[in-house]
Amino acid sequence: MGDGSDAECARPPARRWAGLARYWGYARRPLVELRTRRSSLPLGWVRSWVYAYILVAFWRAVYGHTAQEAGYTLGQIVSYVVAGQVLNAVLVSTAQERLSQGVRQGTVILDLLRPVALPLALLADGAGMALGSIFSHGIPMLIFGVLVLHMRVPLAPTPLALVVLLGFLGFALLQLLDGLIAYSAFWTVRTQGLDRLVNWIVFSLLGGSFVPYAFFPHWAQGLLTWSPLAGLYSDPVQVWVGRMGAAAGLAAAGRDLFWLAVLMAIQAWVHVRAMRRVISFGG
Amino acid sequence: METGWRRYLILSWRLARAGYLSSTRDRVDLLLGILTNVVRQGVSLVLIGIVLAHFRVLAGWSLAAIALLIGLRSMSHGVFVAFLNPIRGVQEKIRRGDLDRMLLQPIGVLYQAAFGGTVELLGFGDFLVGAGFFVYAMIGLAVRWTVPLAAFTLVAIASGVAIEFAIYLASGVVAFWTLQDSPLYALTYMFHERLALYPISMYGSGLQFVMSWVVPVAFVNFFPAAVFFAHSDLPMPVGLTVGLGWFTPVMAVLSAGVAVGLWRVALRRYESTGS
Repeated sequence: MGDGSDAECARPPARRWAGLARYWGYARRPLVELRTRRSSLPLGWVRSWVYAYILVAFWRAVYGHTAQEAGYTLGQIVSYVVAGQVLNAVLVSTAQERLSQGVRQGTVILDLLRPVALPLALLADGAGMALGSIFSHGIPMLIFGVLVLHMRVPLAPTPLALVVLLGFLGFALLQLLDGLIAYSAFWTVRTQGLDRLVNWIVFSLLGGSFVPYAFFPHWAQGLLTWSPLAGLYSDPVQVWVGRMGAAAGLAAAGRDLFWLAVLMAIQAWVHVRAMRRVISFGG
Repeated sequence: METGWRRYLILSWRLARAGYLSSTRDRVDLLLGILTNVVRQGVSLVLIGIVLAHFRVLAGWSLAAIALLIGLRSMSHGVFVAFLNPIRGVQEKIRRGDLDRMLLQPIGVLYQAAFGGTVELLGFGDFLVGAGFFVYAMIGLAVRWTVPLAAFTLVAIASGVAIEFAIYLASGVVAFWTLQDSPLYALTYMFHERLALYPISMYGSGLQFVMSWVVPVAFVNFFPAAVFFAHSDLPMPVGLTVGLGWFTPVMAVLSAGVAVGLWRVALRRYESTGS
């Protein structure tokens, strides 16, 4: 079964824009869902603030009177973990939820019948989620981090631009990594549990959201720095706290682009094989 | 017809058996769920270990001492999840009107709300991980085992179950009045699932007070840990006293008593949602 992407390219420009507008429908969906859940937002803020507080309390307790460890001062490490929590708002993906659920319930066939490319539809969905999450979680966490936890914020144009660039690339990397796990639903049907494990261990922990790579054993630092996971939290947050300069930040962006190309190729390959496994019984 | 506790015992056995059969229906899913818990908790300790490789202690607590905290909490949480997990859904039952059906059954409403005929085997995974951490902690802290200490370990686990039951029941009871998911429930979850993983001495004094005497999660692992330190040659971390450790079962009974009392008051005032 085709996904409509080839037909999309053959259309005249005006109709192609109309085709692009369909993806806005996917991006809008999480925003509409967020609006319906707006009454529960304050509780979400409190939960994420408590979590940030725990992380900061943890680091303050271990540092004690230590001035600097693994190249980080206490002030930098506090900014690091809180910035990681702010980035959490951008680093969201709906691929696992939408695709795994769609495969399990059989509704994925409806998505495949729509005149959109499934990977792009998932990307649009994730972008909508991230946009909503920036306002609903990212900004409240930023305000709490600055006012209560005394987090440092990059205000100079170069680091600010680099944080935005690396954050955007991190979002794109996450969509592809998460998408690959989501596609496994075509083979395993159930990915629940495994999803949570991968999300937490691989993306958050090995991505460097709780503990900077500088604290990891040397062999792990080497491996992680060159992996696509470094692009999720470690690189943007290191720029945020002033541990990574412009040149290193640009090099990190280059490495992210390389991994984006590799992951896109892998996802295209997996997508084709996944489509071969789709059988519709009708009715 | 059997009466009294004997009736509940037979019913519990039958429900537990049915729950077990239901849980083992999809074994791959179950094993994956248990494995997820094992890896998740194991990685938590590894993460703390990575940090403590640089600093040695967290607010005076070594890695083995933190393993004791996580181990005690996981063991009691495992038992709670295995047998009493439905109490966490009590708000949902009130909101959806399921309580009306329970009131018509010829058996205690709280029994139905707490036990609910399910045995959540995932809880055994938590218990086993906790037991592993506990053994690691006992070796790391060079604890001298005695019969009273073995008995205290069982009492501490049972007390942890009672405290977890009490805090979830008490936070769920709010739904009798609000008929909505209580924000208190989410905060209770934060206290028990997140804050209680670390020594409370690393938090501010206000939060320490709340965790000790309002939402007494500190009695699930922090204060009981003092009794184990008393059987070791290692110095007692700051904030711990053996007396408060031995007070754990009293706190558990008090917490459960207050929560059940709140439940009874709420149940007397219950008006169906009609849903």
